[in-house]
Amino acid sequence: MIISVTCVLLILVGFIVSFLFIYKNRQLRHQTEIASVKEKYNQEILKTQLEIKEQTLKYISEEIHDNVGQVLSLAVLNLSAIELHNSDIAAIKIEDITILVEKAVADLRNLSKTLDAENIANVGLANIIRFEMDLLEKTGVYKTSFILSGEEKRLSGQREIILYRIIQESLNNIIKHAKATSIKIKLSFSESYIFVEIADDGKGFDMDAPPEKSIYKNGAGINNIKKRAHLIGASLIIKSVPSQGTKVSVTIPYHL
Amino acid sequence: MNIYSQVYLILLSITLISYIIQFRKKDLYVKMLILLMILWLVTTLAAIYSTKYAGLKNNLFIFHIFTPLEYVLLALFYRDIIVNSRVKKIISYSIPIFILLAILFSVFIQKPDTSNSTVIMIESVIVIFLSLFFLREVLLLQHATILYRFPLFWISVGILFYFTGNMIIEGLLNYMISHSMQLARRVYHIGHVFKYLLFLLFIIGAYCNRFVPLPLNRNR
Repeated sequence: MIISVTCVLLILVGFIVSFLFIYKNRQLRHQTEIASVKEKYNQEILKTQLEIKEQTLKYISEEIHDNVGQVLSLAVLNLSAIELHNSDIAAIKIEDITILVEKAVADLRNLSKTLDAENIANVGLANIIRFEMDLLEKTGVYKTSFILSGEEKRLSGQREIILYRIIQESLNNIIKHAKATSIKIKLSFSESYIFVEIADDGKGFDMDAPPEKSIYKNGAGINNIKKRAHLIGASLIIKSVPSQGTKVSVTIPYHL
Repeated sequence: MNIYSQVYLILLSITLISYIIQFRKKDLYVKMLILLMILWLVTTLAAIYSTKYAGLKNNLFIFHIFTPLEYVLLALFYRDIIVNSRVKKIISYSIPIFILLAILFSVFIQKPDTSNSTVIMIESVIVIFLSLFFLREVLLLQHATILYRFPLFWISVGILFYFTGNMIIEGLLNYMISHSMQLARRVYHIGHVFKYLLFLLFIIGAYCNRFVPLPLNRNR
């Protein structure tokens, strides 16, 4: 009887100790894995930030060259053409130059607002999208519409900025490739997630076409959108029909 | 009532009171454990009463009623704490099947005046599988930050050991009786050790962490 009881007790204690030991080992392994995933995530965020910075610099250089540079060149041209002995014509020229310089200043201000990450954090996603849409509307090329539903809730940290960059990238794709006349953005804040839809009536593209035949030949824009969406835990749906337009939908939960 | 039964009843009562006091928030699994202990208590008292005071020569029919009830409570307990939805479904289906099986065995194979050892063996095998499956889930899903402060670990280990012992004893008992009654009695008494260990582990489970919530995906 005593031997049997001792055996039972030994087996029980052995089982419990082994289980606790195996559990602890697994727990340590699990923690190491979590730490490595976290580190990888942080590295990805850093990489994306650097990519965004590089893209931003490219965008700034393009904007300065195409808009501000052109306007200021025109202002310089006007300045050099001022006939000082003819005060009436000179006054008209100076007025034109003033308008041009004001436009350049406004362009620079808009550029700064669009790119400043702190500005996004201060004014919120809805306001910054509305601002972008107003800028597009003012070009006279696009008819824009922005539909907002639900009460705005903020995303944590970098996620809001990255979501905004996804929207910007989609708008850039429309401007560069789509030849659209109308752009619609729907932004909806629900209980647990944010939904954004960017739609245009441009030429669209064949989603099944091989990359070399696609209008987005290098596919960098769409790849960037996909990568960033994945990084912030958003689900992304891109739908496009040739000559009917493209729709990009992003759904992002507030918490990962 | 012999000393073994007295110790058994004392330990069972202490465990029952511990669970009623310690688990203030009574989740389904706690309710099932409390009901299980009440069932054990009632069955033991009924078995003692029927032979000592009611003058019945055979009280084995009580265990023909007890075993399916015990299985129902244990199955509901494991259905509540196991995360895997397929296993949850299997447990749900197993309840009416087991009850039907127990009735069929009682009517045709091991009549109420004999020990329902086959049904007990089947029950033990299923419960051992369920407790091992739960422990596997604990290991894989990392349910607890500190395992030895996780009540369900102690409870499940207790159930695992008790039913393993139960299965071995039930399996050996008839064979032992046919060979040596004295040896059979010894083997039967070892069964008490498993019962005591069960209650000791249950008590550890009740006191190891009073307010640890069950960190499981409890989608029922």
